[in-house]
Amino acid sequence: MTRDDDLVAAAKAGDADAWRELYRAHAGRLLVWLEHRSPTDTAAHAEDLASETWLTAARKVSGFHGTSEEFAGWLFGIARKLAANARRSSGRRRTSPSETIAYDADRAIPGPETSVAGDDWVRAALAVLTPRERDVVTCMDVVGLDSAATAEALGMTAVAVRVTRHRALKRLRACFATA
Amino acid sequence: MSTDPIERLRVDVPTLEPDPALLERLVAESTAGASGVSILPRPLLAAAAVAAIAVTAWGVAQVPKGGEAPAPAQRSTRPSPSPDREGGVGPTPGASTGPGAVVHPGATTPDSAGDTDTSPTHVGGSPAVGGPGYSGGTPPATGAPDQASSRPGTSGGPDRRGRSGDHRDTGHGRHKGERNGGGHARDNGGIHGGPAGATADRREGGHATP
Repeated sequence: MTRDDDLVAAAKAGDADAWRELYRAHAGRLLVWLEHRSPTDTAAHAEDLASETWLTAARKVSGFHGTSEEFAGWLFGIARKLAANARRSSGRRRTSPSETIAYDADRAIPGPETSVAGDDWVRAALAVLTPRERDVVTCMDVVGLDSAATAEALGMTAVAVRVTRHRALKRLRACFATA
Repeated sequence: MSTDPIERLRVDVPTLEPDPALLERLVAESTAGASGVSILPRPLLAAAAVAAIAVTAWGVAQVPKGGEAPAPAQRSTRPSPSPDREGGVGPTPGASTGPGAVVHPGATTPDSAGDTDTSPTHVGGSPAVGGPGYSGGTPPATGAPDQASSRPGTSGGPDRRGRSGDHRDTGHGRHKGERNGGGHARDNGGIHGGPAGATADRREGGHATP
């Protein structure tokens, strides 16, 4: 069983500085990851999901054991499950306007979130991948998680993560070569 | 500048500062989670819910025992409609005599009085067939040939009884007559009864004929 480092132990005890440090380390890439893994979701939806993810993590942090780097994979796993739940519930309610209003990068009005959302070129490149490949590439090559944290976040084995990433990068290179 | 396009996927991740309200909630949630206060009541809550459901189900199961009293009452009241049905079925052949005879068995209407002339003739003609033809299902007391013959209205012919005979007797007798032979009722309805009685008799005679 992995021992907690000082930062995670302090966060479990309810230390505000520890939580601020964890937030600074992971909140930015969590938001980028949520915005890139599902292009049809709005930025506001990603921010809501990120906030809910942090609250859920704080509620369940007592059951987490690991370092602050492993905390990233655990946090991303919570976000993935919350996003899946939100997608299912919105599909039942059918209140999402994504079916009628398609995302158009040319007509999008740049706002303050574009600095977080990153380049639209990345979105277009990731659009050729399958959802599973997009998740892996976004975790490892867009926001910079390692393979172990990516596996923890996506519920996959490290080997499956490496194989999926290899296929995804091969497809991306082929796509870039033809473009 | 990098030539590998894959390296262009990397996004400069900004460093975000937590909102004070969010940070306060994070601290509160983590403290509550560490104390385990929110974990312990869950099994207790589940046990209490199960116990409440069990008590409610047991209570609901006890209630119908007190409510079973009306059931025998319904059974006891079942035979009572049969006399009414008998009384109602008796004149029901009044359908053959016209709409006025359906109202009361004892009432004497001109149509029924007219029919009484014909019905005893049939009963007297064939008394043995009286019982089983009742459509009400309950055989009438007068269904036996002996009883039917002992009645004043049925023992004699229509000429002896007169036109103001007992309507009940005439109703039964009429009914017997219809059941005894559709052909008789048809003929007599055509002679003594009105057009409605004639059609009804034909209808009943048709039913009995097969």
